[in-house]
Amino acid sequence: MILDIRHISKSFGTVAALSAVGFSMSDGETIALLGESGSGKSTLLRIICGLEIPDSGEVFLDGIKYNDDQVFVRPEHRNIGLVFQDNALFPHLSVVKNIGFGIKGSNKKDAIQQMVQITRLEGLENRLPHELSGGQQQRVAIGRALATQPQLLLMDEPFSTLDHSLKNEIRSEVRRIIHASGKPCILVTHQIDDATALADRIAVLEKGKLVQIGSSEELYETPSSLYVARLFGTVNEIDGKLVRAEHIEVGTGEKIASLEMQYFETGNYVLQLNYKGKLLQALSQNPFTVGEQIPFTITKELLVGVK
Amino acid sequence: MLHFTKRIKFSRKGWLLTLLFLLAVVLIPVFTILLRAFEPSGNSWNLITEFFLSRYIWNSLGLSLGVGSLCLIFGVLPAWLVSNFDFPGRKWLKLGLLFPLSIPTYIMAYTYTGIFDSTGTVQHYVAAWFGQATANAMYFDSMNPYFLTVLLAFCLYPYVYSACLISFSSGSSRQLEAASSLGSTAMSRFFRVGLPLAKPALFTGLFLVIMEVLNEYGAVQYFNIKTLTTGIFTAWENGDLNSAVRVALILLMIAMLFLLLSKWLKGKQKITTSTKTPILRRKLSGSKGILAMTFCFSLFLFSFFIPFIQLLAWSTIAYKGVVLDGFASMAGNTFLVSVVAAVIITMVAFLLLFAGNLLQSIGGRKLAALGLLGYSIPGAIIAVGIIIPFVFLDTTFGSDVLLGSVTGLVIAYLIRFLSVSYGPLKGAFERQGSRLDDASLSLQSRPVKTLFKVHLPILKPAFVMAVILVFVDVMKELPMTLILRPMNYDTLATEAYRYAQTNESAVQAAPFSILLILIGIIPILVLSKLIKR
Repeated sequence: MILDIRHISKSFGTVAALSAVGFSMSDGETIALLGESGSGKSTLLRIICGLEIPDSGEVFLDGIKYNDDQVFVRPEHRNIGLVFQDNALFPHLSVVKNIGFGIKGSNKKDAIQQMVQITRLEGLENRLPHELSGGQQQRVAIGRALATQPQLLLMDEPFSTLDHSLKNEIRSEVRRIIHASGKPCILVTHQIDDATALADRIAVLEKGKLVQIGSSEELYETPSSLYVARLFGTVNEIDGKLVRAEHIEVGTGEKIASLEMQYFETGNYVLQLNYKGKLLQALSQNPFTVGEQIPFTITKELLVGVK
Repeated sequence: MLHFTKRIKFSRKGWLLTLLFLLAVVLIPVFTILLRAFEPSGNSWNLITEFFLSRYIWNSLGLSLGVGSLCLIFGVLPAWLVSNFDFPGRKWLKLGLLFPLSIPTYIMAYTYTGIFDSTGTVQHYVAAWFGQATANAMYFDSMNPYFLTVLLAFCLYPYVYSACLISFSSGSSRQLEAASSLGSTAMSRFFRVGLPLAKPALFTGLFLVIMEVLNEYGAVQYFNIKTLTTGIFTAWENGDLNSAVRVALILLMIAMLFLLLSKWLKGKQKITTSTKTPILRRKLSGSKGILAMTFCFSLFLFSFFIPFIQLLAWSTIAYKGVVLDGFASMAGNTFLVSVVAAVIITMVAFLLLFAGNLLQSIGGRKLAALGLLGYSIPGAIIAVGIIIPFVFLDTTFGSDVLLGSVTGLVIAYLIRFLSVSYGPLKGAFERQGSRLDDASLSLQSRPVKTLFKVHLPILKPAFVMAVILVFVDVMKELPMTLILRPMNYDTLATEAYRYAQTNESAVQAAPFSILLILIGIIPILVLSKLIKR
């Protein structure tokens, strides 16, 4: 195990940010911490990095204890790379000076050059952060964090400031860089698509508690709660059963619903149906007419909290 | 739609005229000095250039640079310590180190010279404990420029301290954390990240310090050091207005030089990172903690606690005589003129800000910024610069409205302190963004209605804060008040200065001083709340 977190709790005043959170991860693995704003994801990341002290619990990195009631290893002695939400680049330093900030030793120049190549920042070496695009700044931040050869890479909401088209491009880049570095990585996000695109496992936090950890398939197929199930999209309640929108087949079946409205989205029509006074969401390849009575069947029931 | 557009255009013209009128008022002293400085001069100007001018210039520059250097040490180091480390007394010292800002420089000067003079507190106790011979041997002649430099630095370092404190504790906290996670030590974080990122704040604070030193009159006069400001006073008191204007022009040029230098030193880097998450402070235990506490506490002790306690002790001796001697009426005068000036100045600042914002497409914000130049103009220059046109106006209209009453004084305060109230209003205004103006205009509301119905209610807290900050600055102001006050009109500041000067006794000035200091602590408490945020 490269990282082992045990029973981490942290409160700010009377608000409990984290309650007995624990999990472990293997070398080379990427884990996404997923949850809504205020669920404690960033606090956990700061605790792992040593920028926050937990009220209780332990953090082990590569078998060495970094945190407990008596021990506290300072962030500068942890060898953990952190990419901040706003990148936190040093505005007075150029790209190479940002990347080389934490590198010590005689081969500093080579290490910087290697990181410039990995992050594809050639030609931008002498620019200042404000002269770079959002995506380029992001790559400098990742390069800077990886340049010190950390045992673990932490990324706090790395895509939250990027617009949609740029985000997809940067996400692929980040995935490539993480794989190229071979470093284990923890990624904080509130977007399920970021988590599924980058992580081997997803840890879901709800109000400071770890409610489920597993692969994206596991979380999709066997969510531990309705909260986890809804992270992947709309969940309908039909005659006492929970059904995902994509598991409703429209056009055939004995159940009849009337169409209230529809819109087109990424290859499908999203239908808002009224069934026995309740609104349902379903997907269809073809459009219907508003007010039309549409038959449908349930192709798969969602089982929540069943192992 | 056409009607709506016409209304906006008409209104814009009105606002542009308002803005230009305000600018004209603020720039009166500069224009006057520029026009008058090139008129033929008499013999006295030749005497000044031959015997005094170089001394004025070198003393002003020497004091500015000396005080500025000391303020860097007194301001930056404690700001770094209290924002990044935990040590005994940190929380109290963080606030306490702002308190010297409440002590006007002339009060600091006469208090310390009083403490060290031949009949002062130090001599008294040394003589009592170790004998008169030891006291005589240990006598320290405090009336020297080096000691004045230290005293001015005691009063003014909070400008640098508060600016750096905000930068270290919130402005650059993310970058400092990033440096930590990259293995940087505390020393390396300070020199490689903290200090470079604090550069704009640091030079803003330092510029304010230098402006205060150039503006300084009471303390340098008390120490009998000839500077450009005392030169203006001397020429004016001798009835030689032309020479006063010429010395003022030189002082104005030096002030502008420092303004340009500070802008250049601040550089172009944009530091917009700020976070609500405070940086995790390191606990300094053992000798390091004691060392940090000793440094910060010593600074607090010498720059606030000792002079304050001394003034308090003197006040208990002197208050009876002084209270009977018109103390209440002077306090009333001070309070009244300060309140009136503070409210007027804040309202004008509000108009300037709103007009600048409304006219930003035609450079309104840059025009509005010109109106803030007054803070870079020493008080003596403003006073001399407005006397000439005001005498002309009073004579022309056969009245004494401008110089025979406090009107002229309030206008001078307006020119000098407009930027003090503009700052907090601008901050609050920018947080709102221009969306409210757009929304209001889209609802066909005229700018004046938007100003009063939308902005003013929302900006109320910032407005109150601006009034408090100006109130205290006006109350402490000395050089302009000395020149422009009507006959037989005294304030706490002028009276404290008069007692210290004429009676050669700091004791009788103490009750006025204590009251000024106590009122001066109000904006510091407001400022500390802002820093906490």
